[in-house]
Amino acid sequence: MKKTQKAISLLLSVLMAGSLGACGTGSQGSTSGSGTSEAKQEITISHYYIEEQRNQDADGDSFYAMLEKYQKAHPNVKITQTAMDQSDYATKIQAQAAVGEMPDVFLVKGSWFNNFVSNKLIAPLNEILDSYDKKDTYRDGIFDAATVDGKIYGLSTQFSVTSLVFYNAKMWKDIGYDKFPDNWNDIYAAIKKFNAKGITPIALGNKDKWPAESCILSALGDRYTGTDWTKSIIKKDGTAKFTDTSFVNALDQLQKLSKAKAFNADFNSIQNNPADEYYCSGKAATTIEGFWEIAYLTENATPDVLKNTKIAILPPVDGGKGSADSTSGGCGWFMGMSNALTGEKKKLVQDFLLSMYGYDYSEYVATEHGLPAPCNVKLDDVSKFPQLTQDYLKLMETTKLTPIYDIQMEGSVIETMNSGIQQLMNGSKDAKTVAAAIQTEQDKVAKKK
Amino acid sequence: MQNNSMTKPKSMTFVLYLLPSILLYTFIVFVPIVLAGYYGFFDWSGGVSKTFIGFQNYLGLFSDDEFKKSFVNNIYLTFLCIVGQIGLAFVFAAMLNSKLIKFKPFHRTMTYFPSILSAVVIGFIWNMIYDYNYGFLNTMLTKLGMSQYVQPWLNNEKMALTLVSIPLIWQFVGYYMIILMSSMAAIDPQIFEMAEIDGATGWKKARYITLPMIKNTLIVCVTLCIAGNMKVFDHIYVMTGGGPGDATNVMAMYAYKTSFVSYKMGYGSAMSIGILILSLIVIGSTRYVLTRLSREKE
Repeated sequence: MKKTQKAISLLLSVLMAGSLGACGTGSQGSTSGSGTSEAKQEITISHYYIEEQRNQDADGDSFYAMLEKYQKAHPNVKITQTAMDQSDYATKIQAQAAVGEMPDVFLVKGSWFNNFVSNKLIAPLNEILDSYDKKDTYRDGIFDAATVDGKIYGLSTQFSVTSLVFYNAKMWKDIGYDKFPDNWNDIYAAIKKFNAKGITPIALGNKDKWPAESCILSALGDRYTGTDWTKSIIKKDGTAKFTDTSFVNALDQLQKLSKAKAFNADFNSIQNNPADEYYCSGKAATTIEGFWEIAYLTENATPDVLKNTKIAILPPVDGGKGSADSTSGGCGWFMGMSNALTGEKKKLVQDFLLSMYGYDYSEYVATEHGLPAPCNVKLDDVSKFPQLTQDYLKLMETTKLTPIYDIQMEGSVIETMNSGIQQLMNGSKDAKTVAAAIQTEQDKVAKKK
Repeated sequence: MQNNSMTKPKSMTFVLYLLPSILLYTFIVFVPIVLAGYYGFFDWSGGVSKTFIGFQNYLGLFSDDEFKKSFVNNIYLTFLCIVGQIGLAFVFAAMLNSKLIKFKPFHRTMTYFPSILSAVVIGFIWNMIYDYNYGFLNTMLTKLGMSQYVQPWLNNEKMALTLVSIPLIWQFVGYYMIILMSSMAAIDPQIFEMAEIDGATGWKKARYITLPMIKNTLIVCVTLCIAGNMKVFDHIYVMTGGGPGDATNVMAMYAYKTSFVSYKMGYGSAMSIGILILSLIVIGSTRYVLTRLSREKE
């Protein structure tokens, strides 16, 4: 009796273990199974455009618009999307890259290309671009970050400008400035006046560590060092060093701003969106953010703040080598294609990529959102767009672009820089120490090449 | 005969019963550890190309100041948590065992409650408490007329690590309290009665009876606490992301950043093996010291 009971319980436990295993393979099988039924072809795509945020994300809205258009034209192609928040996306795609399991189409950050190309994870797109009749419409240098050894590995998804000064013209006028100052002395004077009135001069949310570097230092640094210096750092040729006086001066300026209480006191412990709230609700007079802020402000700022918002770029610095009418920009994120594809599937995905991020995409971005896009699109009438968008388009007509640090420099160098900037702005380390730490990391990376 | 076979199953039966869990454990825990150890020998940025570099990654750990600093941070957190979690848990458990406390089930449930929350939720709750503008802490300080202490708390490099340890303590104090309570419940009540007749008060009972009687459980708790704190990641990831600068950087956070932000997968793997070894050393030596100490007393 006992023996049979024992036998039965053993059998049950084995069955349970078996069913656990079966569950695993079963569910996996069904997801891939539904996609590959004979008549249908499937394309898997990973990206960071959250559908619920379409109305405050111009890139995302354009992505979904193009996707819907493609689906209409190709009803028998099944598109399987994996979408998540940008920082989660970065983690996930890096983990997938580590095991070599890339989706067919995926977003790639400029600084990842060297790694992905040397690991043969991503396919060159020259053959489709060369035969594309609208290739000439792409802006100059828009593929810079996606080019490795002369080959282009990703189609630009954006024309990104990461450093723009959004200021509340009314608040600045109240303390005596008709427009955003064109010199730093005035800025420091204004900071004092704002603080005396209990207004945050500049809203900043640097908990995630990139905003201060990508939106402020990328442009401020160039004012001091000039673009040749940045290009040398990106190439890792050893001519330019982070310990060069010009770069140290840029870091120094950032620390001075922080010491002068230019930013909200909790700048290192909140993310950039909560910081934008300071500006949107009229508690801060300025915020320095990228072009994405235009859509964000339009959606979230109070009507009064939105009406008074004007756009500018950072003022030039004394003795700086950079040009005064430039700011950091370019394309940061590209859509790339897995290198594992062959034959008909490859052809299908190539076509998909071009119909997603060809001229049509740029045309949609330009006509629907009034934003400069990867391709040059001539707009005859901009008056239908919000004032802020028109101002931005006008500013961009005369503004040159310099490289965005975190898009083009090595990931580990940027990580050191970002952490260093937090300490620098907290006042716990000085500019020279931070610069030396960044250079040490740069040396390590350069030695490996 | 039958009785014997009931109490002592054949060794084959043991193996069969254990097999499913052993298989699962092997593939979820053991294989990844071995693989991480293997990847640690390569210069690998993720993907297909790997270069064998021998022990370079492992040796690199010894000269990596940031790794050392994060190890020190881990130790500091562990120290605070042993004192905070187990110390408070002991006090709470002793109080709940005494006759003076009313509504015991309520207190027990409320103290244990944070343990069932996910780390991300805990992180967000405490982020709100520490918030500069709307946070509970700053609001209370202002209300109490101590507005000179109001500050962006998690922005303070000197205090950030201590501040992130408070949620950790808050979350797990109930967990250790339950363990200690069950062990206290196992103490023969007659001993306490005897002591009371001899005139022992609450504190003396706790110090000279409860503490020695549950010391084995305490050693287990300390071990669990160290193991938990050596791999702490999610609370800190949510609250500070290791910042400001590297003030709250812990080993797991640094390994994660090395692997997935700086793309040094090989070095990151070597680092996780380093964390494993360091944790084993810390746990081993603490256990050794604690058992030696408690034996000497006898």
